[in-house]
Amino acid sequence: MPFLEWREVCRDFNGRRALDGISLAVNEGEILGILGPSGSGKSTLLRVTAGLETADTGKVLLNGEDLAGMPPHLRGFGLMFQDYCLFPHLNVEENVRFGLKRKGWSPTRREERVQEMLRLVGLQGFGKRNVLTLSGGEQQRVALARSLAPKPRLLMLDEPLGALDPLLRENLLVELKEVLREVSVTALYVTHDPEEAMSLAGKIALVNAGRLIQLGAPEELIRSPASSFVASFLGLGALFAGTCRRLGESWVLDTQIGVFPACDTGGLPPRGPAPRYPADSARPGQMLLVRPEAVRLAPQPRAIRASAHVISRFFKPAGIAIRIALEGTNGQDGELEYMLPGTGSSGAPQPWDGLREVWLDPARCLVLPE
Amino acid sequence: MLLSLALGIPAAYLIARGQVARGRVRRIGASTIDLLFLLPLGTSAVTLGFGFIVSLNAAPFDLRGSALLIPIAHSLVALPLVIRSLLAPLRSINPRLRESASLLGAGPARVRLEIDLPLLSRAFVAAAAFAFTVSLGEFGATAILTRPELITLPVLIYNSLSRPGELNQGQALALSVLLMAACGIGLAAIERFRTRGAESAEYRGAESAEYRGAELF
Repeated sequence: MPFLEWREVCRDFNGRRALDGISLAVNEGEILGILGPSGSGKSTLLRVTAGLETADTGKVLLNGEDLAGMPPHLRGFGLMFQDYCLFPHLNVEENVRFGLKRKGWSPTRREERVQEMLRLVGLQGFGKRNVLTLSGGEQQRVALARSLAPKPRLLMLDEPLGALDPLLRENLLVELKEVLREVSVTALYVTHDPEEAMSLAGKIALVNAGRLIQLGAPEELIRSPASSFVASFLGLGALFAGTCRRLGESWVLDTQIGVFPACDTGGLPPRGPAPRYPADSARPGQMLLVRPEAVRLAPQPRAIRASAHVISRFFKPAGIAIRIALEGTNGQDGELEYMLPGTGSSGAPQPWDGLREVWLDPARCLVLPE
Repeated sequence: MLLSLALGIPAAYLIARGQVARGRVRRIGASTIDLLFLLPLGTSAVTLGFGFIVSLNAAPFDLRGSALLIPIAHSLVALPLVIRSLLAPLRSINPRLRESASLLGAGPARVRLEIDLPLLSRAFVAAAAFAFTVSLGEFGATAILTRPELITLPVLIYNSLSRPGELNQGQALALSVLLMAACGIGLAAIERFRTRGAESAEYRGAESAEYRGAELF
């Protein structure tokens, strides 16, 4: 039996569907990333789980027990908001202690727990500080300590790094990961940033428009995205619409940048929704995903030639990244980023000079349903 | 002052809660109550006092001779101001603060006591100041309801002024000084209490809420 389970959860806001039949489960000790664009219903899912909103239909089960009707303060869940919501009239210690009052702990035990939590997030000696004098990163840590102090059965984080600047964000991401591992709490991590979700969560639920689009480990999502939406949201490469048709024994995909064999399916008809078409007829509404690693700057056997031009290049610690636009016949380009190892010697002709065409390895392209 | 606070706090709470409520009926209900509590501002205080005399003459509510009558009238006049000055700060409390508290195990009563109350403490003081000063200077309703043994300073001043004679004139002026002094002492006490509260709370939200409250008047 899963630790926490959602069954067909629906929620409407003034006629707009925020959650449209979400079914999902989390095992104890797991960190589930809930990933989706803004307005996809991911925060609503958290609020329903926390008891701050009620589901119109469907159930939230904890250890098989329906949580409906249980008020938030009795659920024993922790929730951390994007803006932290520290209590402005209390200092750091009092904020962390807030959740311990209801527990039948002795004052010394409470005090120990507060100090333990402050140590955990690296804020020893900050206890008496006014929370409004703290920096964003420090406030975030206090919020984390406050949520973890009462030993919640489930920790929910709603875009916890959303309000921070990118550099701080990366550091805190690493710290957050360590803290979560240390306390080994079951956690739901809501974010719109694929990188954040991938580096923190063991499993990711990708949601859009209130529906679950794909559930899987980060590497699964990257290796086999369920649809072109997943591929574009995760930024896996350039996407081109096309039509699948039979060519002899196998299937090929006609796109604006050329004809690609449907390699990933082993020459079988592409995956996706049940075919509405006769077994052998052409299927429109397919998408070709060209991953960056499919790009070759020199001709190769079996590789497919495509017109392209360089949009920009920028230097990164790992090498030079060039942004290439693959030119579709209808004037629509697909862009992707190609990494060149090394820094390149100055003066010498560079591989991107006068680039007019690239070769694409079809084995690293993917045919996806739209 | 106490009476209008005792009535104003729950009323403001109700209105603020109702206006963010989900149901249409509750929202309209809250707005109606809001409007209803504003009515005393729209009518002349003299009418108000006269209304008291006319309506409070039957057996269970015969308060015409009661010492409570004037305080009740004063609180009615002060009520809209109290509600107005509480409503804006109450609305400005981030609802997620309350939600955070409840997720940390605080039931509704504890949320009110430990989140709403401390965050509103300065607004309460401001509301009390309004009630106090309004009550001190209220004349219209009091002039109608007053009895020789139950008199307020403004009425006394009026009485003295309307009688001929040097002595009465002097008495009125002396009383005016007294009224000013009482007002000044009250305001100074409130001011002092307020700054002390600000030092301990150092709550930016309360400042902005107060600012917004001040804008209303």
